[in-house]
Amino acid sequence: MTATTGTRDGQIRIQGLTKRFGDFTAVDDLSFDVEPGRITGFLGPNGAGKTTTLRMLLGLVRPTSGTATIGGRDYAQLPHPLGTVGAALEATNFHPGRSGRDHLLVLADTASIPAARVDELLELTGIPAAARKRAGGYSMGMRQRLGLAAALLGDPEVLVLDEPANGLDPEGIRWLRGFLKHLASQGKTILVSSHLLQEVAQTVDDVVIIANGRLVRAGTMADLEGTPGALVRTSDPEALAGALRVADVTSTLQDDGALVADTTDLRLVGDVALRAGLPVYGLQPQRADLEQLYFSLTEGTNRNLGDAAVAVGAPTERDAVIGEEGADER
Amino acid sequence: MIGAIRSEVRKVFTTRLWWGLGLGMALLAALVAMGFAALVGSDAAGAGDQGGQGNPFARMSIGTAQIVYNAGIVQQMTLLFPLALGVILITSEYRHKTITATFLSTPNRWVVLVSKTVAVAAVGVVYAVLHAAASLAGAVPIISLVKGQDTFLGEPQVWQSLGTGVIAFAVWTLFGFGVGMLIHNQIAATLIAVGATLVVQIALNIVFTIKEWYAALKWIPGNLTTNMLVTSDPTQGQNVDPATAAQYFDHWWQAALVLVAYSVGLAVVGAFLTTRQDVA
Ligand SMILES: Nc1ncnc2c1ncn2[C@@H]1O[C@H](COP(=O)(O)OP(=O)(O)O)[C@@H](O)[C@H]1O
Ligand SMILES: [Mg+2]
Repeated sequence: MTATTGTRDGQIRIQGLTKRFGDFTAVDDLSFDVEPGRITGFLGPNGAGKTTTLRMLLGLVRPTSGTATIGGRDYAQLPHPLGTVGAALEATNFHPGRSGRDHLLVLADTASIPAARVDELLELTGIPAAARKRAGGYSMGMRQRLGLAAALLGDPEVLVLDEPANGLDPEGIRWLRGFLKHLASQGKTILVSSHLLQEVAQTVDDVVIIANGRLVRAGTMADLEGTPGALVRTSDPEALAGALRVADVTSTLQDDGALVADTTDLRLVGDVALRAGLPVYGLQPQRADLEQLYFSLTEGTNRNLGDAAVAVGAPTERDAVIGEEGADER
Repeated sequence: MIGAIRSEVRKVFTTRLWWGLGLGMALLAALVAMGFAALVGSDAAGAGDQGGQGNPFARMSIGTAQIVYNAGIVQQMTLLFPLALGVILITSEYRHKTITATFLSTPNRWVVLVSKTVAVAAVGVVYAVLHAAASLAGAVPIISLVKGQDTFLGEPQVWQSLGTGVIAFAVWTLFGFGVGMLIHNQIAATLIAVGATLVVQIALNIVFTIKEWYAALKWIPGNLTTNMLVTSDPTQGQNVDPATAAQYFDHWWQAALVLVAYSVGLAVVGAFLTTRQDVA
């Protein structure tokens, strides 16, 4: 109901958003903004509350409290919903007996979008022939593509995509990445959710990470990754650290004896080591371990895994990912 | 609103459901009409003394023609098809989760539900035409060729009755739609709608008749439908017990109004709840 002042066209603003199902709080006082013209990754383990948040943003689920607006308006108040926001929520939202093309035509009717636009999108998403068959036989990849086509029907400024990579094969994920970049280059606001940071890390500009319905981190992808460095192994790391300091490069010593220099210039590190007379056993660019970082941010907080996770003790990262996927099958 | 209505109509006609059910209904309508036509002129028809109501099939009359050409409806059999159609049209949106896309393209849920009502009524009209054609095709050859009796197809009242069938079908499709909005589970909603039509209505008819609450009988939807369609006394005044006359309204449009009020009432309650529910 509230028209928040100070929001721009295409800006998504979530403020104090809360949703309770009975006495279970699925989304807990969540606040964040999604900036226009950028791709924002909305991340969190399965059950973190991503879908519920997006459904509240789209007017499908009533918030217990708080607001979620697009360009300052509630979704229900948008004069041209399809022309403002395109959403693809789940990959299974088709009537199995209706063709994909007819599904799009049904939606197009509501906004007086011509059939030519429907066919144009089927070309763009690469399913023009298949879309004439009944949707019941579609593969997961085709469903995702058809969902994207539906989201793009009204050429909206804002795209809300819930786990669009789910069920895609590596080829499909690659296609999706390129497609999202293409859309972002047109200046669209894109909010894309995923339960895996690595899946979207290469694509997104900003990240919003939630766990148990609460915000744990919001910022740019660059900030999350931190400054990249150079990992170097040598016989005397302390001596090399001193030599680097002389060359105006700070560094930190890792537990395993490797030194991480705060520079991307591998050649400089090698030259400094040579001049210091230190042998170099290994030299490579060092980036933040996103998987490790993401896990530590959301670690131990997955309420959906319940006691099972506790019972097996501290789970490894791999276990946690598998466990989450298993929980999704419930 | 126009766009939303066009969308809902397209939804109905882009799956095989409408013609699958329509075909089944047309076949059944033709069969029941043939059966009724075969009774015309037979003394045994009407299974003897029906509570002093006389034998409607003794010989062809306007009322008899109205019964025979709407036989499936009078027997409460063919109305189950539009009823099921109405249930399935809305519950399949929940079953296949297409309701999400529907509410995204038209966030005002009242607009969606009113558009659906219009589309549902439009299918009701198609079914009514189909039903009339199938019933005539089943009954007319038997009446004119086998029984050698007048078909009464020159009578405006007979055609009016067939036209009123449009209201009957729209109302019964809407009944299904209303039940579907109240109960989103497709199987449960279908069973409850069909069960209420068959079992509950028959039970009420029996109870009211035993208790001799003839005035209450006329409020039962199935009886209202017959009341609306059969406007001329098919028994032509043979030994009718005046007490049982209370089970009908005097005018077809009174019955029609009550029926429309029922179905709209049910749909509004269902719509009110639907507009407030989360779509998960
Ligand atoms: N309609 C509902 N009723 C009860 N609990 C729900 C409902 N919808 C979601 N939940 C619960 O809320 C939590 C968040 O779910 P969801 O938003 O789907 O998470 P995500 O999309 O991040 O995996 C989950 O624990 C889920 O079981
Ligand atoms: Mg989800």
